[in-house]
Amino acid sequence: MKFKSVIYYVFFCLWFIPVGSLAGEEERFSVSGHIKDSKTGEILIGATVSILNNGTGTTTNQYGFYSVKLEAGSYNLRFSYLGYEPLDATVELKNNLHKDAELTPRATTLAEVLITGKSTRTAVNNLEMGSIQLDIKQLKSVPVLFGERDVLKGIQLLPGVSPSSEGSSNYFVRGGEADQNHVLLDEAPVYNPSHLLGFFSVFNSDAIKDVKLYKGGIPAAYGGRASSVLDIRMRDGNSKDWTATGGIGLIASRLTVEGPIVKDRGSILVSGRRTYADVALKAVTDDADSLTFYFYDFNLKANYELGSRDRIYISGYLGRDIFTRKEAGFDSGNATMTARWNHSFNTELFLNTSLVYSDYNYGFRFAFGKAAFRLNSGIIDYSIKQDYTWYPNTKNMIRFGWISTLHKFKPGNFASESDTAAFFAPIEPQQALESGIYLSNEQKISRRFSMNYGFRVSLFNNIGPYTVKRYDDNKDVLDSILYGAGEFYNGYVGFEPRITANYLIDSSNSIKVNYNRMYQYLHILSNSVSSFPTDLWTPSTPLILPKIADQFSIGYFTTFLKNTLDFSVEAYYKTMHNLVDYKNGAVTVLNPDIEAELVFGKGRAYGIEFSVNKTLGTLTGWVSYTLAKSEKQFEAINFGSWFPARQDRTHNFSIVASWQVLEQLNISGNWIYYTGDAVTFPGGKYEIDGTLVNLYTDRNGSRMPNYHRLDLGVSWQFKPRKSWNSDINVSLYNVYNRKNAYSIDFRESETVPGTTEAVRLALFGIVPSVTWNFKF
Amino acid sequence: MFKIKYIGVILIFIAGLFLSSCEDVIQLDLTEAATRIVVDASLNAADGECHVHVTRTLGFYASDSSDQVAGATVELIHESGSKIPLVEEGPGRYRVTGIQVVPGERMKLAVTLPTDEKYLAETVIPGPVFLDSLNLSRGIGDPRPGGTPVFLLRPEWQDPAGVDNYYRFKIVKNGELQSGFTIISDRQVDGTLQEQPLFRYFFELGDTVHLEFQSIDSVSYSYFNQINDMARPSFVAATPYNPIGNFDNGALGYFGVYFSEVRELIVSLGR
Repeated sequence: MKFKSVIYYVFFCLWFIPVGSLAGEEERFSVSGHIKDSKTGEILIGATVSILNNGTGTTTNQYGFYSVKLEAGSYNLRFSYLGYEPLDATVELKNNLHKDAELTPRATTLAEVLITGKSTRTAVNNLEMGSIQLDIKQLKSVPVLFGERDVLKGIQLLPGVSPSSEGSSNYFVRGGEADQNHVLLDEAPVYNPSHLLGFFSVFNSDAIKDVKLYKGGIPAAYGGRASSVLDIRMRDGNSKDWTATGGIGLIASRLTVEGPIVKDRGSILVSGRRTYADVALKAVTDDADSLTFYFYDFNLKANYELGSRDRIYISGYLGRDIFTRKEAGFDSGNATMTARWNHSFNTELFLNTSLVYSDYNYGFRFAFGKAAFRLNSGIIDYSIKQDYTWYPNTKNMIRFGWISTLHKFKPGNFASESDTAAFFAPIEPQQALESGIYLSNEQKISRRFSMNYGFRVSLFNNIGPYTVKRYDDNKDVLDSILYGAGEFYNGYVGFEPRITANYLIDSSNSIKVNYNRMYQYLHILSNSVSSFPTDLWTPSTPLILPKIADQFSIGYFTTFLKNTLDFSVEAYYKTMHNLVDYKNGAVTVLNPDIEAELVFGKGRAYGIEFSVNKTLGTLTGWVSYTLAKSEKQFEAINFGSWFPARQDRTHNFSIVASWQVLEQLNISGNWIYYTGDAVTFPGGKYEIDGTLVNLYTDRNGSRMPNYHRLDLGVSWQFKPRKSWNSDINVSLYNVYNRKNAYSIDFRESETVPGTTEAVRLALFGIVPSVTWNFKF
Repeated sequence: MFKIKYIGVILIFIAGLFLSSCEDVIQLDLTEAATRIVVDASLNAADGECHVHVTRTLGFYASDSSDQVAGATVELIHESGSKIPLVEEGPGRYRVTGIQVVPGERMKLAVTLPTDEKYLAETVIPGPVFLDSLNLSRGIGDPRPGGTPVFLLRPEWQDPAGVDNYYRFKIVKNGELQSGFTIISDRQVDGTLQEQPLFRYFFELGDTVHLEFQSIDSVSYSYFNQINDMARPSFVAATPYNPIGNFDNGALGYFGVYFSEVRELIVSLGR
């Protein structure tokens, strides 16, 4: 493909653009440090450092660290972050200088209600596109189902993102599949970020500091998923005082306690959440002792500053869904653990080293009389990674690093506890090593033109013991090869260029272009609409090739009305290779020969996203509209012609508004609309052995009814008491009670036998909820 | 293989928890598919009776359940070349009795419409397998004191080793044929003793059970499996498709051969 070779060529040439003279100039010194919240000591991600003398500047990285290299002299610095009072400081630069800054949150909430964490100007100026930083504070005002604030529901209101189904935590980004989104919690992958079959996310918003979604322009530091990256950072905890925050809601309650280990040097945060639907159910039914159902989350984070150059962090998450009824039980959940060490070698070179553990598993057991059966399945990751940031001068910021992850896949094996009768053939566990190295440079080439260019090389190896099988068209095993323990029996290498350029037309208008390629080596094999805890991740194998996505995007960014309105339009074109689907009639459950049931194809998605964002004033919010298409092509489906992907939602519109009426009173609302999913509906029927069978035509040739819904919320802040304050939040989900179809089934009528009817399942009508939040 | 519907049950249960969920019948405009021929043909090798039902597909909202095709010529063709014609007993329904077959032999079914379109299917006669016993397993049921106990059927049989075997259970409970296709393949459990309960059907004390145990051919198994795939609630089902049988020339349906055996019992605590 010519287009690709041009991209590669341009890409390689870029590395020869002079990185700016690294030596031979006047003596230069660095000023570096961390930017924090003065009240809690929480580090601020993406805070701005402006050098007022020459109009340059930088932002803090994910650990709140910044560094700027300047010639010797006197400088006026301004530290700023939206929602905080800016802080000015004068520095006399005669040698390398360490300068930490603590910003104070703005006193009045009325003057400025947060809607985006970024100030409006940076959307025009920065080198990011296709990415959105979501402020957790903003989620407070978005009305949600059951009053449970949820970051995964929040991002679904953004352009280019839509929920996989009603109420789901799973989402589609720019026409990609739901398993193409990388969800990271403090760098640990979360393999199933949802509770209760997707209706709640595993992220307790009280414990979350920062959420950033990359739909395109994905930095080289990230890899492993084809569509998007969602980078979620947990709060570090208050390093000044002990505080407790929490809430009592309709279905769940939560409590967070945080405080200093040693004042200003280290802090700890512990946060928990548990549902009590089971308790309520016991109160209203006499089925009391037989049914138990609940989920819980537990977050822990601790950090300690060893000195001005070193800081260590430990963070962990544990959450489970538990469902039991006498002799049957199901439970599933994630556990993650991240240990990090931040080290600044000097004022120019910053290093983070992380050890990451992630475990997702599920199991169920049920019994009938003497016979009892159980099943356990899951995936475990062990990772080690290093990320370096080098600030050689004010014009360049170079990032490089590596990661290596050992994945262990434990497939579902069904076992009978009571007797030895063979029930299902065992499925072999698998393991694989996924690694990556990356290098990128963020360079200001001229006053108007800047680029971020880099690449990632990913490696994937399947490791024995494992039996690799080949299959014929009849799904029978042709031959099989047994590989020994520790044997690397299959490998893939992916070269992933990432490049973004920003051209500033003037101070409030810019044009950006981006190209990136992503490799994905892990896949969820699933052919149903709903997300199930049993959806299992499987590795690429000699047969299942890695998914490859190429995305090209172009965007225009501007601000008007004195920087209070932020407008952007982004267009993208994406191709996807090696998509996986099941054959018709595939045996998808507990099948050791699951690979024989697969077909492979490709996809393409394109669209244009418009977004208007108002961040200042008493009325804030955004309007976003996406016009998009997503198609797939499989040799075995629809005679090999392109057909719409399920997530092909032509129109996707959302409006989110929050109005601070009074100091204490906030009214918010959102309305969303999207085109119904592309689905396959019957066009006829026939009878086989007395059973009615539906007759289908083209794959995904029909549409679900269009989806729309209005939610409203009111929150009232009670007068602050001496040592505590609280607020109450009342929300209505689906205000006009629209029966949005979760599914439509076509079946024989129960009232008039022999005739057929379409039956709609609507999950949620109007749902009111109340939450009381407190802070000590 | 036993279908695991457990997850679907949980989802429905949880939807029920939300209380606000609702199911209603809606009128949807559906694009009418082109009419196709359907041949529903099976030969019971145990009693030598062959039934063939020839129909055309109907529109989804049609009030009838089938559109019979009368006047077709239907013939069984043995691998030796000998042909046995079927007789039309009612519109679209064809039958012949007294057929004797040998496992492993090939058998074809040919259908010629009055309009001269021809459809042909072929299958291999499966081997007969018989039940050793039919037992009951007591399940959870209503756990409250005095609650009704629930029972599952637990048929026991020895799967022959070294050959592919497929089974179907047709169950009549208190005189009512239970819908759906309960089928099992020995693909992963070849040659073992089968004694797992049938999770799909629940019985209470006093129920009369009529069980037909069929040893079916691979064509029938694959065809019924595809129908089952489509019969699940759409949020757990695979992307819809038309099950593919063994007829050529674009006809829907299948032609299968099976051996069958019938057992009857009344559910009681003694069993």
